[in-house]
Amino acid sequence: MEIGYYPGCSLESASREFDISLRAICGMMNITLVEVPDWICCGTSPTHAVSQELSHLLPYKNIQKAEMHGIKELLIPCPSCLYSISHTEAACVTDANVRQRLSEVTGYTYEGGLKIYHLLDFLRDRVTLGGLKAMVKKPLEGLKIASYYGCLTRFFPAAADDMEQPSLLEQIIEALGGQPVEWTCKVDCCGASLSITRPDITKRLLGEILQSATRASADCIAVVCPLCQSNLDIRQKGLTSPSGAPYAIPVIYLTQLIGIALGARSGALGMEKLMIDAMPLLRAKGLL
Amino acid sequence: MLELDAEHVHNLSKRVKELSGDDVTHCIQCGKCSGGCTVAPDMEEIPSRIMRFIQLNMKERALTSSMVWTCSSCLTCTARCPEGIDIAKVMNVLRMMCLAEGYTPKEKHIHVFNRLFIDMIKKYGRVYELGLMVQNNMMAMTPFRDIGLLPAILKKRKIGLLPHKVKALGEVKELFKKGQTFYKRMKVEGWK
Repeated sequence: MEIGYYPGCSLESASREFDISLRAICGMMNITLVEVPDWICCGTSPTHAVSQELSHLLPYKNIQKAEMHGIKELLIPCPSCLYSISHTEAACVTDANVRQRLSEVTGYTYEGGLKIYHLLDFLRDRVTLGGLKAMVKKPLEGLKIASYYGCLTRFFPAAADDMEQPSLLEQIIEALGGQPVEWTCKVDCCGASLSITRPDITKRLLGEILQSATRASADCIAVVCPLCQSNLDIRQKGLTSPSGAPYAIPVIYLTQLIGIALGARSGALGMEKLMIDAMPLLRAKGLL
Repeated sequence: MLELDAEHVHNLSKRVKELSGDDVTHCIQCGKCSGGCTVAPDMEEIPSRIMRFIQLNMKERALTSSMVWTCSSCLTCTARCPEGIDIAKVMNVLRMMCLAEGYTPKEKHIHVFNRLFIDMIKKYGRVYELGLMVQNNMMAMTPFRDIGLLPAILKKRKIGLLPHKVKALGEVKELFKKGQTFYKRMKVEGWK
């Protein structure tokens, strides 16, 4: 199977392990990722805050680059990039004014028809849960996992069954043999870039999320968003539970967990890049 | 004193509707947006009150609120609004209006971060995280913020030392040039 791939800025920088593990599992599943050539930043929330036109132009340029490369289906693992690009794609289809203005500026007219996938949608619709289960070599037995969707994932088909209590990530974890826990923060926001501009707010949010995962006795948190991962992982050090105990909960990309279950080496999944070391946990569970 | 008159009371809500497509006059003040808001516990305002300011044409209160800037765009309010108002989008529109009308953003750190972020895209076509953090720290006059994280991040090669530049940078610059944006009118004052 071949699918277009838009990594986005985070996946080639602070969240490289998301890219590394995605490429690794796709290799194991015989899926060829066709990267959008010379892709540019999607603009994400800063452009949405200052200019509606720019917030459409940057995603549009990427849609143009993808289409001109013959890409008909596009996988965008970063929920922020996905939100920007699918927002523009939908606006082009539904709003003639937007479509006309964007084609005026870029000299390219998008006719519609690009299918855009969230990672969870892609796993459910193209890989299928049954297909995933059949490929598992090392079931994640006994691993209690808090499935963290973050705030944006619920807006895609991935979580459309229930925006407040989606279940697809749990279903995928079960297919991998893991044990999803019931917890209260799965669609809460991590604070995103407020970790840089208002660290006080992020600290409160991260504390709430980590406390909820701890209460649910989770061994680790599974994530599908580079911002969620960075905030929870890089900024976990120094945060303590209400009783004063420091948190040390590994925050692992779903793609890394899939890689482990499929029998990949930890080095091929970028596990060493996690700030909260997940190796001791995985070794204790006999998964490495 | 708040003075309401039939002729002008809808001025602000009309402008917001033009820019966002959302009709804030439909807000019934149920408070679901405020109850679920990510940042409200740390703010002096709550999103439902911002909606009320718009309904009552209280422009200055709406445009100069911190809430407008700290909104993390998590879209919980948008997901829950029984009237289908995209409240997070309205917040974005208020940010643009705040700048366009010459008000000083209440949360300068956030405004400056956004600006640096966009400058980064203009310069490289992609975001250069290390450069963004350094520049942002300098602008915010907190040069050592997060410096403790740096050794581990660099050791794990989580962020690159050099920016990734796109090849077709000319195309990116063209988008910035041709795009009609509020951005051009944006003023950033120095830090005081």
